[in-house]
Amino acid sequence: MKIKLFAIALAALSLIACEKTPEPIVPEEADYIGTVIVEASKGTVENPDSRVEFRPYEDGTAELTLYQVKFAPGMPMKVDVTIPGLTMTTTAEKITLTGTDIVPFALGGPFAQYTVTDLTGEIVGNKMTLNLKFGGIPTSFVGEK
Amino acid sequence: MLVSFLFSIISAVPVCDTIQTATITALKESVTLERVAAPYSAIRAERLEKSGTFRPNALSAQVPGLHIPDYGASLTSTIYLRGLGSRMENPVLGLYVDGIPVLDKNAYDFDWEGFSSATLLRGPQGTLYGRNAMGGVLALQTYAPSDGERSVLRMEYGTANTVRAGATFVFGSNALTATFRHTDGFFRNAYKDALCDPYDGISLRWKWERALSERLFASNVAWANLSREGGFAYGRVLDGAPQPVSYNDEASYRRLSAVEGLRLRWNGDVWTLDGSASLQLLLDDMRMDQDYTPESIFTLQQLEHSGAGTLELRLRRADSRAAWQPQTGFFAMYRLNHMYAPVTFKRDGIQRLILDNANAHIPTDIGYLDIPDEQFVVASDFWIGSWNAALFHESVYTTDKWQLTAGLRLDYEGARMDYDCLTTLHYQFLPYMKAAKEFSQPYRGAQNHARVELLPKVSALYLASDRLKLYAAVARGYRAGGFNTQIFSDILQNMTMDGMMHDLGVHLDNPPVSVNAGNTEYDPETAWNFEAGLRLRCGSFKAELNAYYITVHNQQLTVFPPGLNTGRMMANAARSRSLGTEAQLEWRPGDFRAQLAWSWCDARFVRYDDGHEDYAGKRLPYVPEHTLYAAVGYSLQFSGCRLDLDASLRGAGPIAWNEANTLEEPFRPRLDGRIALAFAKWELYLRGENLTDAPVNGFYFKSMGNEFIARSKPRILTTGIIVKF
Repeated sequence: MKIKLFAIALAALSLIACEKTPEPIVPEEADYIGTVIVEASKGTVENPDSRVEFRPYEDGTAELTLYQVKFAPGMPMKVDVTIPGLTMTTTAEKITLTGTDIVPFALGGPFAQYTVTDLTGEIVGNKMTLNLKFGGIPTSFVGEK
Repeated sequence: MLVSFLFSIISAVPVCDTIQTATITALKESVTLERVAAPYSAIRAERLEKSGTFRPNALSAQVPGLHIPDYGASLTSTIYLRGLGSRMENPVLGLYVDGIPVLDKNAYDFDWEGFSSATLLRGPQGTLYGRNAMGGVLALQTYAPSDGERSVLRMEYGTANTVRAGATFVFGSNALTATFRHTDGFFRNAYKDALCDPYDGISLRWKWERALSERLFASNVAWANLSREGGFAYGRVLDGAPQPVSYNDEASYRRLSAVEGLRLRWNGDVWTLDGSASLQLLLDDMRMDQDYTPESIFTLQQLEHSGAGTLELRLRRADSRAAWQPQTGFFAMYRLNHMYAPVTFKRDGIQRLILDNANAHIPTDIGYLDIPDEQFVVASDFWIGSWNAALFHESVYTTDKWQLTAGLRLDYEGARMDYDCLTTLHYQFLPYMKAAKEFSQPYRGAQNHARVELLPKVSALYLASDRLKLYAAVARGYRAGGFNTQIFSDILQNMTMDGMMHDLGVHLDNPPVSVNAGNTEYDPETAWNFEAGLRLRCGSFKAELNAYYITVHNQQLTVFPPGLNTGRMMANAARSRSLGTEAQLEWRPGDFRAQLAWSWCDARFVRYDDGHEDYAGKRLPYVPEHTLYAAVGYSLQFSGCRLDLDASLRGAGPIAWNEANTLEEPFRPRLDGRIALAFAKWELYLRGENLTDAPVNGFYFKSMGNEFIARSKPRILTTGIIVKF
């Protein structure tokens, strides 16, 4: 009987030992495909099937590149824009991105005209959502891996 | 009515002689030229001399329908015949020298010396001659030991410090010919204040012939032509008025061409076997100011190293009098050409052709592209191998009054092009990029093509009398396909622009359209030729009249490719048809001589839509509607000498300069003349070309929106001496 009680107590102890605090997500480089919506002053531009590349760094920052985005309805071209130096926080459920007053890179150099402000974003599971302003122009993205 | 008139002539004239054909060995026909069911022009040495025919373009109009405009440089050699022909790539006329085919069109134009005859068969001769004989075959025959020993020296001097010297020695089993020509040039480049078309050239030829045994005859001919010249005397047209030639970059052409040809004939009791083989070499270097203006826009260099070999075997019946004359043969050739063709974009060209086009697509508030290089090179390197193999048979069956011919050639041609192109430049997108960035765009790959063509021929010749022959023929010919190497600089230019934009992260909604390597191949052009004619020989009077109808499929046209391009490319863009008549008359009573060669050709598009305009029904550009050559001469005989007086009128036109037929060159004949005092051993002569200094335009084109005209040469006076030993 004592042996049985000892075994039950051991099992209970081992169960208690398994109940750890959940580990945060390990961020990985990934591409998300979705729609970038730019609410320009001359009208809203929808960029369907846009690709956003997420690149996390070990120092806790991250970089986003939005590929082929049209920022105004009459614009005869699309531009790739890279937003560096984003603050990245990870939990067990999601990765959060924030940043403001960031000069993005486009057209071969720093593109102050489209300075990024009020960027907030989340990566939950396979889904990424972003809200930001490019030179004051509200822009959003929702996409999946 | 015409036929009855001709029959009345026949009945009135007692005996007709036939043209001397025994020495014509450059052709492959089983029968004599007089019995060939195709129109031909045989121009013998005397007439070559009197008409000043020392280069192929001087044959223009002397052969009805033949038009070889004299412009550009000697690599141009553009040949039009019966509505066939184009400015670039493969010719429509096969060239044979002593039975050896000259494969490379760049080597067609050379100085003629020591030729005993030039014979041009018109209409497709593909059954016996294969590719590129769609319009006809030009066979040049050099003096041979069988023509008898001779030693001839020539020296002449003329306008533009033109010196031409030639020598022909025929002795034993050998015939040696050498010629030299220099000219200062006829057109001044106003920008450089210098003549732009000087020429220096030397040609050497050695021919050896001998019967090696009772049955075996051997003939070997080897020649080399070396030349350097200027050229491309194109002047802009402003408000309809031609301007002087004026360009700032180098324009020149250097060429070494050499051919070694061996022919063997074995005469058996029943069959005769003819074999020929040749090795051909062409090294040339062409440099061109491609914008032809004083601005530094872009230049082109085209450096070619080409080697080729040909082999032909023909089996035919030994008894030339037999009613059935079959001829069966095999032909093969291989040509390998290494071409280096860099296009250099200079400062004005970078700005106008590249940056202005690119920045037109970029909103000004975003920024602008700059290429700070003073110049950059779009380098293109090609290895092009082309090969051809053919089996052919032709049978000629002769009865008392009829001669029927049927032939078929199975022709296989293939080609492979390996291309290796690269451009490297520096670019900067302002105001964002702080420094220029190097960008390289390579383009490598290979293209292949292969085609099989069947070239049938059927003809009938009716011997109405000893004097009159009537003939009709149907034949198919083709002009080889190929690759558009000259468009690769445009492809790479567009790829570079596209690559730079991608490198910048800019994606244009409407990127410039461009062809790629897969679009650079073009197919053979094929033609069906329907022909009827008559040939009359009455004493010293000879006449040939004929009419033809030609349908052309997959017509090779020089077109501007889609998009913002600076080059041109060959494309199978159209169908056309040519309808025409040709006439040749020659009369030599006593010391008087007269020749007339005339043609009318109505060549029109049946289908051609370039995407902007439908040109169906329009006349083909660059093809003259008429060609005319009229010559008269008289020899005054004195004791111990002879005075020859000759004059001729020749011209071609009207010529449409564009597909829309909105620009036209009228028919403007030129007057030539020659006076010669001939003694037994020597001859003095004075020759004049374009005596009235008629302002004839030889070529028109548009480049980068600018119009250009190439004038024909002005009045040329030449005096010379011929010494015979």
